[in-house]
Amino acid sequence: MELVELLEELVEEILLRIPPDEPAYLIRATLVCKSWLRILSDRDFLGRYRAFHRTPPLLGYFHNLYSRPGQIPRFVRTTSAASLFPEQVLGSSCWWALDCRHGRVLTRTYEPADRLVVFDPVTGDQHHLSVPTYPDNHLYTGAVLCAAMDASCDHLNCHGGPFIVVFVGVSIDDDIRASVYSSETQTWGASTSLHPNRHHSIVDSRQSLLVGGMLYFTLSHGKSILRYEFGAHRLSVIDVDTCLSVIDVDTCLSVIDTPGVLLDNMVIAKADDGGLGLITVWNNRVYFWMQQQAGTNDSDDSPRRWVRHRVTEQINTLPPQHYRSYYPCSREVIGFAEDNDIIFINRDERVFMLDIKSMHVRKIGERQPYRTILPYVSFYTAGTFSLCLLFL
Amino acid sequence: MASEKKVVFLRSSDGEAFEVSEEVISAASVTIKGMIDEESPSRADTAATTTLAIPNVTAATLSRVLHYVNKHFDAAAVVGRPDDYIFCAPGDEHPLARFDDDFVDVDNDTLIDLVHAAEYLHIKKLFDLTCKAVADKLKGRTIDQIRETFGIVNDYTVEEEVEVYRENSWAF
Repeated sequence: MELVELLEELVEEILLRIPPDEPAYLIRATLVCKSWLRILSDRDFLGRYRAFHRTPPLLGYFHNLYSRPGQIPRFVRTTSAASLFPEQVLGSSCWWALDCRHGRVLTRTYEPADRLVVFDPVTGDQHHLSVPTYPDNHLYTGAVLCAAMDASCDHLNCHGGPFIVVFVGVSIDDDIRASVYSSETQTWGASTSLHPNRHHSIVDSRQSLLVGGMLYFTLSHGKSILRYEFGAHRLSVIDVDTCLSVIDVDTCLSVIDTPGVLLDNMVIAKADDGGLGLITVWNNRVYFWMQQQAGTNDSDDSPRRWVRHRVTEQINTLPPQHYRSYYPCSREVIGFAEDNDIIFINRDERVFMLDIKSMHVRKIGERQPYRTILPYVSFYTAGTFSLCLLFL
Repeated sequence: MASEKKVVFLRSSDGEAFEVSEEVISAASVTIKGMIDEESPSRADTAATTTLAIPNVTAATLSRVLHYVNKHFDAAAVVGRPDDYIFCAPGDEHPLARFDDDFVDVDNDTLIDLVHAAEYLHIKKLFDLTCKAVADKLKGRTIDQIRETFGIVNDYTVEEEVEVYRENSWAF
């Protein structure tokens, strides 16, 4: 049997199965010979490749520790590929990362101009937007997403397509406002506002969650969640802190009396029923929470209570939890990749990535006093197409 | 009961015959199921066993393929028994994960032969497994090592190669 002949025939099937988590594997394969390059730069093949693997890989994460001496790169890469985010790419060293989704990053730069910048690390595209002006605004957050919110886009390769930005601000009088920017019209729509009954003045820097046509932002260190509904252009607040407690499965004793500790180790996530959920990690078990209707009234505004509906076994591949953190200001559960079902845990000198489906644990970075990180996931097959134009 | 089970013989390209349960091989291989279905009208009333020629697959490869097929497609086979620690370990994604890992832990030529056989016999699970194993072999290798491993001739000119490296410097 001729080896080369066989490979020619089946090489596409083999290349299709190269794992996407290390982009260099695919790029290296393009250099083997021109017929491999031809396959790897074919748009149909790349579409098949994304569909085959489904879940875009984690390429790294952004953080906001930029004022610290010691210089950790703002984009910490988790693959061997060179950084997708050169330090000066935004033309400013003074910027804050707000959100990552659908291959795009939302940042706010302060110098030389106060701007929101939507950056696509894979294509290098940048869009600079004005910052909406809200009266007495002092805290803010935001989200970026592909403009196709229905099933017409699988978000595996919507780089360069239209996008939406949601900008949320909280005034010194606790008024919360939100506006939506559309890249198609290149304008900000009118803002919507809410004056909640309770004091929610701190917009937490944790990443937003997009689920079921709603965006959720963590407020007040996790004590409540802000919901933005796209269809109705409406804001509302969901309370969290009144009812969470963790029962230690081994001792059957409640180990946390102060919800603050728990809330600081919580991320908002999609629940098993497709709605809003919470994930907490305690004593190396993962606790999944979802909302349940409290009464018979099934309207959206009727009160809901949080119920714990699932607890995992103790995860032995994670180092033990430090009850008193080395860094008093840092959290342990620092991020969530909503489409990958991965949470990020900052513990024992490392950042760990925990796949909550398989419970597989991987070390990805060094521990730093992160409040939060913004994981960046995308397929990265850039460069192959331009090579194809050069040589084929 | 067991004696009622029909068997077929598969004859490899080098003339060796292998016995396999008709039910098991039909579940595994689309190609052989097609051959059996074609044969069946002529053998419906005879007790004679069928021998099918598999001209593209050697005895060495065919015996490996049948080992895989019997493990994966024979419902009566012992799979995933808790004490079957050779093939199954706690935490494995599926009961035969370890068996599969060992199955593809072979030299390149054997593996490529298995890819070819799985494609010819149309055994999807085996094709997926063996193609993935070849893809995994590409991961840790340099470009020269990949060429050497798979006997591929470099058809880039020096100038082109320099350009390719320049374009993709981030990946190296």
